[in-house]
Amino acid sequence: MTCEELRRILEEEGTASSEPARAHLAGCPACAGEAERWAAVLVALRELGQEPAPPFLHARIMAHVRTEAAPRRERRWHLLRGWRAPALAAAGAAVVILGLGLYQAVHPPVAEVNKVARAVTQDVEVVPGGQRPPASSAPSVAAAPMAPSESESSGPLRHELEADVREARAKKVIASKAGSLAEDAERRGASTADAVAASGPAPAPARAATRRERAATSPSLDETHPPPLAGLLRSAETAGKGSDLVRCRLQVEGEDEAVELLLPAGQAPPADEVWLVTVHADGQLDLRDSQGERQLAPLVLQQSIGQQRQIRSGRYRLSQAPVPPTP
Amino acid sequence: MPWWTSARGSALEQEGEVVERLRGRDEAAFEQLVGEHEREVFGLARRMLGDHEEALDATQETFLRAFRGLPSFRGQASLRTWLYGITLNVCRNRLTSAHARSRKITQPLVLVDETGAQQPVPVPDTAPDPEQTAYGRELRSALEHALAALSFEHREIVLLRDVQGLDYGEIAAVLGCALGTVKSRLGRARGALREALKEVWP
Repeated sequence: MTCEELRRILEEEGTASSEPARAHLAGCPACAGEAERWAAVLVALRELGQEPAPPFLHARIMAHVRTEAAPRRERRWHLLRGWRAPALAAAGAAVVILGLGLYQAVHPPVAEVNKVARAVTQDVEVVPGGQRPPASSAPSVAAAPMAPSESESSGPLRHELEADVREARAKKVIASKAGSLAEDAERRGASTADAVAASGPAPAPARAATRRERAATSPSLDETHPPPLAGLLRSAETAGKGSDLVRCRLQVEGEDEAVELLLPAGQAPPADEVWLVTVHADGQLDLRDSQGERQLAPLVLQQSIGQQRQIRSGRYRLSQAPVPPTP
Repeated sequence: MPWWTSARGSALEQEGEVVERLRGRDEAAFEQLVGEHEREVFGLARRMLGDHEEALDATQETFLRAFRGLPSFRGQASLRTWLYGITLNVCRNRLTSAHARSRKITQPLVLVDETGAQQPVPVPDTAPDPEQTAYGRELRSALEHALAALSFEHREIVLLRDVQGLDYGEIAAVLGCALGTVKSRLGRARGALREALKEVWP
């Protein structure tokens, strides 16, 4: 075996343990030294792999995973946003109306059942932003009257949690009215309109309760706490190179309070965008760009929010400084 | 355990159960996965990227991608090799993107309290073991530089084999190549490492 062959074996295998190799090493000090050095290098390389991960890494990963998992639970409700919510409600109502129509065919009186159908349609007709479903998509529902007070007051309630509650309530109301009211009309001969009134169509107090629930479950600024941005971990503005960093502004949503911080250029919002930062009560951080797409939070923000808990839970607006005008 | 049931077979069965739980988005199972592999993933990312902060982000991104990709994980590879594959893809993307080039935070961070006074920032302790010998420190430092000087392909295969300790079959699964390719590429990579170590190893 030649020196060249032995060194090729050392590079490929890391060791040379065959009989010819050992015979060569026994008679060649240079190659024996090379083998010793390879052994030392391999030990040192293996030690590189024994370094522990930073202690905060686990919590940081899991915080993001939980944040990642959360929208998946919400995602199914995205189907109920915008035009889909009234369209689905209208489809549900249409099914109920058809069912009631069939029921009516064999169980008069007709007038009683039509009242039920109108009442049910009114209840599920309340749509986000006070919009009514297009007549082409749901003619039977569009033809039904709307409750004016509901449609006018629902503008600011265009929120996904509202959609959840509304959908759930609409399903429940449809089911309960289609079943129990029709049965009432049949069995007891009582006035269907009375039964509708007794069950309480689209109660305003329930909507107020929904707002309270949302306020209790969503991140909010608690007035008993110190100012939300107090103690924010931020980059020094004077030291080091500034070319790779972008001056950003983190502002409490709906308030004037804000702080500037420097973020790596690749992780800062573009100049014309405002990103939404949601800090949850448990320190989890959710960063969304203007399209609603999740963004990985820059380390500076994570350290200041996720690890150091320097920022209170709530919603913040992140943009490059100065803040672009709000449309 | 019956004599015909190998320890490897048992481990695969256990991993199969874990995979089923992971596919069902069992958070406890995923946390266990993170706990078992975060050190390896971070270590690989740390050496591939040569930057502590980048490696933190890459590790986080790796596990997020894994979490998103779990429904499509069919178990052809082990979870470990699957995670390594994701890690290397994440590292490759970071190294080739403009994002990575502008990523370094060169300014010191200060913690400003409510009175405006600066407070020291807690920094994770990543200092090497002080009990290392001078030779060990020198060799380690030289290795860090030598690894950084290797091409991506050479660095990844040296790290997988000599730092992470994967066998040839596992490396082939991670890199998606044949066993023979692994062997020859590893030989070339070690040769390049040997060349890069010339300063401390003439």
